[in-house]
Amino acid sequence: MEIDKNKDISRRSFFKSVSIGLAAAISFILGFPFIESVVTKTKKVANKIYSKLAPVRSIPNSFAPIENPSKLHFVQTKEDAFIKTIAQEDVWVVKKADDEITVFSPICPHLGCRYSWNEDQKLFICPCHNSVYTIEGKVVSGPAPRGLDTLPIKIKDEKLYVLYERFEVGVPQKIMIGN
Amino acid sequence: MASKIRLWFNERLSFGSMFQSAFDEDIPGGSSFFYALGSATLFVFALQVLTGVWQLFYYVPTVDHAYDSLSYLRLSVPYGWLIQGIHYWGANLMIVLIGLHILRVFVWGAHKKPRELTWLIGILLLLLVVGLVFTGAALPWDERGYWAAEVGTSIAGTVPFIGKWLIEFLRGGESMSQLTLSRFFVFHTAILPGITFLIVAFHLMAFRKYGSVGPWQKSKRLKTGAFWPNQVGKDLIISALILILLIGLSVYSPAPFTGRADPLDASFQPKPEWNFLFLYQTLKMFTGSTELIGTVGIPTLIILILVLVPFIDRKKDFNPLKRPGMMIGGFVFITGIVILTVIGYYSKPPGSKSSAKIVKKTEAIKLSSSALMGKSLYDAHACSVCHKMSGQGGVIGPDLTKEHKRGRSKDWIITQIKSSKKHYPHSIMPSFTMLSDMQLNNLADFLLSPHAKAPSALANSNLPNPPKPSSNKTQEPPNNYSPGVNATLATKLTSEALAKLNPPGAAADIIGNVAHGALLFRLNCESCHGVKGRGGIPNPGSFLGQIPSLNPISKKLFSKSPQEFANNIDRFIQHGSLPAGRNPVLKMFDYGDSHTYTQPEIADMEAYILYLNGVNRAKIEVPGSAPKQFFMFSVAIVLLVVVILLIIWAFDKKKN
Repeated sequence: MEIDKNKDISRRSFFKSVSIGLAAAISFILGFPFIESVVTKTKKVANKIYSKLAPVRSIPNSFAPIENPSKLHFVQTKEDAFIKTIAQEDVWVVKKADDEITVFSPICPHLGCRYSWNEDQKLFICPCHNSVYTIEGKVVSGPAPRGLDTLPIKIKDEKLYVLYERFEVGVPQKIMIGN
Repeated sequence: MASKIRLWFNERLSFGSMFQSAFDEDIPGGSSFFYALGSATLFVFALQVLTGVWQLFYYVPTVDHAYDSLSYLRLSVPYGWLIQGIHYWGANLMIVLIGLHILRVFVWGAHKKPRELTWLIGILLLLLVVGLVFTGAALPWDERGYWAAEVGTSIAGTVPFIGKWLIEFLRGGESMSQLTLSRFFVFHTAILPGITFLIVAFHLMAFRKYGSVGPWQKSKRLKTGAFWPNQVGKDLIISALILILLIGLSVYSPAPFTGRADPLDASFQPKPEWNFLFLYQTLKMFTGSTELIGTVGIPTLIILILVLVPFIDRKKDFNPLKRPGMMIGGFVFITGIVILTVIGYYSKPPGSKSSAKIVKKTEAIKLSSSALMGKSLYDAHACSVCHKMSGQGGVIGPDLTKEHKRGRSKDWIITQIKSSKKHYPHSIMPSFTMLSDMQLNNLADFLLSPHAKAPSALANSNLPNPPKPSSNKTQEPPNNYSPGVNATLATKLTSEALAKLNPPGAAADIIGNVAHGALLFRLNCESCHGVKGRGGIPNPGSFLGQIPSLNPISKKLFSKSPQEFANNIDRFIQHGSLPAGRNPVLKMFDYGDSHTYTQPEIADMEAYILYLNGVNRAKIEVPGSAPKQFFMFSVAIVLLVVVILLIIWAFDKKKN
């Protein structure tokens, strides 16, 4: 009887180890993917298609007669996870001459608000935290960590095309999102 | 400090005593792997809850995006394939485990007094799980789920008196719609799981109240074993094996992409999942006025039998040998369900029977080896685009079924194929001068064979192995039409055609169903693009002289990225294209723009064309760690634990 009891106790302690060991193994195997699936980046697609903005000639000169950049609208296919929509977007275009054009992303590099042009002060001003930029996109004052982001452009058949990209905000470097 | 915290808790909520009341119990006859079936079901249920909730991070219950959101989860989210896979296979496994659990309880007599209510609560749980499986299958809003829901709710509609009310309640209206999906979503993720939680708690409480029934032999019952940790340990061994099994199934046999739900698609043949096959088969036996027996009668009868078991089997004997009536009854019941499932599995919907007949007919004809070669040439050069044979094929040229009875010589037929204009100056039949003398001979032999029947292409309903594009050497270039044609020129023409086309349509973003795409391809594309898209069909007046091959496809269109590949070919299918050249006889139609095919159908055909070129449309893009590696990793972890446990065990044994 004594031996039986001892056997029983050792059996119990063995099954305790089995339970704890396997419960740990199951949690470990499952824990990893479950956390990974909600914290790691899912697939992001960078936009690779240039959108047509306007004929180059029709864009007014941004320095003469008065200093004034143009806000141009266009339509692009937007990929948002599994939803594709045709969405309107806009950019700021600064034209010095027909072959000297800069296009700025409309998003403030500070924290992602949309800035606008102040006609009195001749400056770009972001309403969120008062980041201020010149017409060339340089930071004048405010918390912005870098100047306005320029976008790649292309001129084909005398029409201006822009590649609408987005960049990480709040950092001094210009890092594209989705690549 | 730690002991102080423990004391603080124990004074308020004593975890120790809670644990004791839940786990401390003596099992008559000791622990057993047989008793692990219930807890295995509970384990899978917990997995279902976890993976179910996790899918909600990505899934949206709308008819236009449900399928895409699930595709996105499976292909673009790290470990999305695993979470969806465990949920899919877990649902299947749960039905199996519940079945085995019920069987185990039945054989051991564990439903007898005082455990009748535990049994009844268990049957209720079975019904809840069936409800969860049914509503869950519809959520992807794919072809299979959509049609299963359509048929299932229609069956509910046949219930006397309340049928009409029931169908409207389930569908949120008279027909399948967004409201149906919303309702199924709420049933599947809120109402049914909520009730199931509650009933599971009751089931466990009832189980705890009376404990395990133990073995039926009195001698074996004397010795007892502990529930914790002995039974729990065995339960966890089974659970770990189940987890490995579920991961293995998710890796090596993932759920197929059955294509986005397409209410217009008449070519999809819906058949229920295996777990409803026996009902599907019984349903087919009752038609017309007796239909109600199949739709309502039989399911009600099955539930009634299950409910009545503890009230019929009331004798005090637990030993199955002393309950022969019940055992035979149970055996008949299970065998019936298994047989019906097997018949249901092998039964084919009426549509596919005819194609099976074609196979038989074609195989029955005895052709000489030369004529057989001719037959494959007939198929490969898609003569059936223009000519009819045994009721299949185009109507541009004459019917060739009775060609052997027209009394024409072999030479006449060869000349006709090589240069039709010699016989008929105004013939529009292309001159097939690219065929060798032997090939012409073969074709003539085929046409002159008596009882030459339809080409076998349509009958070939099995999905072939993906051919390697490079190994496709059987195709001879028809150099007579455009002597200078080479790959570079073809590529240039493709890119020029591509530049003229509008952007891809919606189909390019849908993960299509390859098998269904193969069927649609045979019906719609093969006549011009050739068997399995191998091309070679002449297109006089076009620069290339023939319709482009899709297998292998032009390098300009091919891409290793499934999305890019689909985008490229989608533009042609959506908007059509006019081949370069003076006056091409045939052109690609705008199948999407003209709404000839629905977007899900186009997506299916695209998935098939990608498959022909060795690209998987449903390729996992962001896997986490690679599926196979993850499976190995899981197996390794479990093995590691097993080795450690064995060492502990050996060490203990030595000590004693």
